Amino acid sequence: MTSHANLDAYENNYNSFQRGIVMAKFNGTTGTLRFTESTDLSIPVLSILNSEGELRKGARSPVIDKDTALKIYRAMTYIRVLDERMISAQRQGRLSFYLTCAGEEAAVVGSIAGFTDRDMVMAQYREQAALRYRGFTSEQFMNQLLSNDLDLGKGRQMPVHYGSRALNYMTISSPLATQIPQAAGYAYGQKLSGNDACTVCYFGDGAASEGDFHAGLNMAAVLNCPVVFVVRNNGYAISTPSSEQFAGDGIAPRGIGYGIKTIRVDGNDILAVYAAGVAARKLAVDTSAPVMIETMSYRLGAHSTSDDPTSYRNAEEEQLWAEKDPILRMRKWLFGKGWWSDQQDHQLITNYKKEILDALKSQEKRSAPSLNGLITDVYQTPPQHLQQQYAELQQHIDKYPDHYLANPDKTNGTYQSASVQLP
Amino acid sequence: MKTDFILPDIGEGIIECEVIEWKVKEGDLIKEDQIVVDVSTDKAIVEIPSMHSGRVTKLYYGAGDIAKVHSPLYAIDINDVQTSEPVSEETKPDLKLELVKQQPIAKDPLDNTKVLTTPAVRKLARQNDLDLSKISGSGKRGRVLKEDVLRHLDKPLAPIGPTLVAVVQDRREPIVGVRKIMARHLSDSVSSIPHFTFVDEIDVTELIKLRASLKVRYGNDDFKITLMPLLMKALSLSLLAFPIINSRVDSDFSELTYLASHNIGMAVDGKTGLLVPNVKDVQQRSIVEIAQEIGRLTGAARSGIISPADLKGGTLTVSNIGAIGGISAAPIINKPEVAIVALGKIQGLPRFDSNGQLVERQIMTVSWSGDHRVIDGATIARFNNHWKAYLETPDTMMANMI
Repeated sequence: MTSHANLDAYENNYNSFQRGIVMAKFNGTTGTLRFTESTDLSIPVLSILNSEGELRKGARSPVIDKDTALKIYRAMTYIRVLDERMISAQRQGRLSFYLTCAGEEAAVVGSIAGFTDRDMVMAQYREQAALRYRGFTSEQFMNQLLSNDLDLGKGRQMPVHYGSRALNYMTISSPLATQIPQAAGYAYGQKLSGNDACTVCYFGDGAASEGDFHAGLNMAAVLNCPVVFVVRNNGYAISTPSSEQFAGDGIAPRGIGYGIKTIRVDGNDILAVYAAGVAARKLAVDTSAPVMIETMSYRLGAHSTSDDPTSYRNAEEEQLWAEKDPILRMRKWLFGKGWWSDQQDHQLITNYKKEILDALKSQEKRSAPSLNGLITDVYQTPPQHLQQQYAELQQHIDKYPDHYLANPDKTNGTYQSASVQLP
Repeated sequence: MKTDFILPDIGEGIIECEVIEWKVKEGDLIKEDQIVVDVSTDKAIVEIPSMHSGRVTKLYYGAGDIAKVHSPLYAIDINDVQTSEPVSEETKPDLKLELVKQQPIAKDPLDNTKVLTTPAVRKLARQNDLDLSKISGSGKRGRVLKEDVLRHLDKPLAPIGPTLVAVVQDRREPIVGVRKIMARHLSDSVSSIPHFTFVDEIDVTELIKLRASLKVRYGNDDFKITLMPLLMKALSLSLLAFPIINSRVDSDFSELTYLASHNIGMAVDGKTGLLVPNVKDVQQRSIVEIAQEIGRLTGAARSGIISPADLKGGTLTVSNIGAIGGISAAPIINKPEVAIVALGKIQGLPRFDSNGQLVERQIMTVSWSGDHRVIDGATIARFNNHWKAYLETPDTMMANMI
């Protein structure tokens, strides 16, 4: 209150045209010359479960019922199995590309569980666990990954660029960080329409170096947009370690710098993330303001199937984080609660493996999406130049039928690219 | 059902992988998802699991070979499953983090996979049988850089005793670039083409006289008229009479193509290794034009800056090994061509003339290698006689020039 009172007094000394000058909040004057350092701001990490899955001393567990806890756990486990299956499938040439969520399942599922299904999700690409939590099926995952005729994106995107209108999950966009200003804008729209919903926006520590991050956060703060930014800080922007990415204390101080209420949590602690998610959603909707959650975690797998992390991080470090596996920690907590057993766990994993493999085998037999999906859905009627290009494409395919499998006869769920003869 | 596993593009636009290690042998029964092989792309070392259960019937490559993307990697007989254990439900119902290879941190000797470095450096280490964990990395967080490996390779071996300090040492260097391509290309040629060799001597006394007079009239600072353009033009005229020497066969030996262009290549001992640029369409060029083109190609090849177009599309090759020394050779065919000729050094030797008098003549030995699937000894002998006639009486060339 003091600072606001001071600010009011300060501002009252300016007439209206001087107000246009950029002003900082006024915290009084000092006669001592001293620069403020980044370490002057100390942001603690919320941690509720210890590594054995027990409540820490003095920590308060969020209210969570058994059904919610098991729904969270199932989504996390499902994604771990999916990731493992899909890496294999990519190596076998059944899909062209894949990105895992492994290691960050608690950060993603714990946070999304704090929101309602009406809230919009604008994710980066490593958050398929949030989509699963909302009910995306194995068939739907496969349809997208294999680009078949049932893919909701009509085969126009790379694997992992999921989207679902029914589940309020905005389609992933490859360019990094574009979802951040979009989330601010979408949340502003939600506020204007007064529909008691907010937007949850996921991104990584690397995306926080993009210009869009700064524009988006500032816009959200200035316009009081009900958006919750969930920053997954996993220590690496692909291969660039945090130490080479930023000099400050992670991402959280930047939220505070823009005037956004911010919390930092142990991203491998499901209860800490869930507690932060529930509270952040309430803050965002009740006060119509942006909130930021920084989840401290680690990417256990490679950046993508094209990456080899052994070229930039060592075995000791990976081992250290493997022992902090968020799924193992939640499992121990569930065991402690008496809500889950070893046998149920084995059964669940076995069932998921079968479910995913069955879906892969059935959906990869489907045909490719219709070719004309290439030019539809952007303009109400495709303009002349697109129609002309489409006609030329058809001629090209007719001319080289061996290099393109015609839609209905297509096998394996993908267009097999012609083998390129190089000298 | 036997089926080939086709090596997919596992790294966004790669064209080949190096086979690091087979985890199975031919004849092994394997299960769906079992790791079959480790391969290395330019970007990563990856494990390839099997899509099917069955018996491995063929491994198309050996460890260390380069496997082509979109071509068969191994063959599996899917029906041949008689394992005693059930194959589907199986293995590891626990999630024990299969994504992260939980290898013991204590390092296996020669297990280079967990040392902090890049795939390119790992490859270099493999090629030189180096244990990367024994090399101290100078990069960030102890990362082993390419320079560290090269420095290690250059480092003299530790002296065994004080008296042995100055002993000679073996030097290792990686086989890369033109040298590697040349090695692969020549091995392929020798292993797939049945070569035969044919040697004859040609009296080039008259040709040398002609060359001397052309040199005075047409040569300048930019290019010299050597014997080579004359030899090439004569070859081209002979090819008109023996088109089979200027042909090529396809890879499965089902079709022979008689090539219209006489693109005659010449082996050049360039800075980076053996290169074979070729003079395009010799049949349409004058001797002076051929000489100019040879001058250009030789300069480019020696400097190491030569356009790929100059190296492609050759139809017959001439090796002028005799310029360095030697009288005969058994040259290796520049596949997919069907013949190659090596020129020996020109020597002044005693020969009998038509009157039985001993005279000094300029003699050059020529050594042909031919693809015996396409041409036989008689064809080469007749072709060589034709060429030889032009070279021994070069004025006859004029009568046949187009």
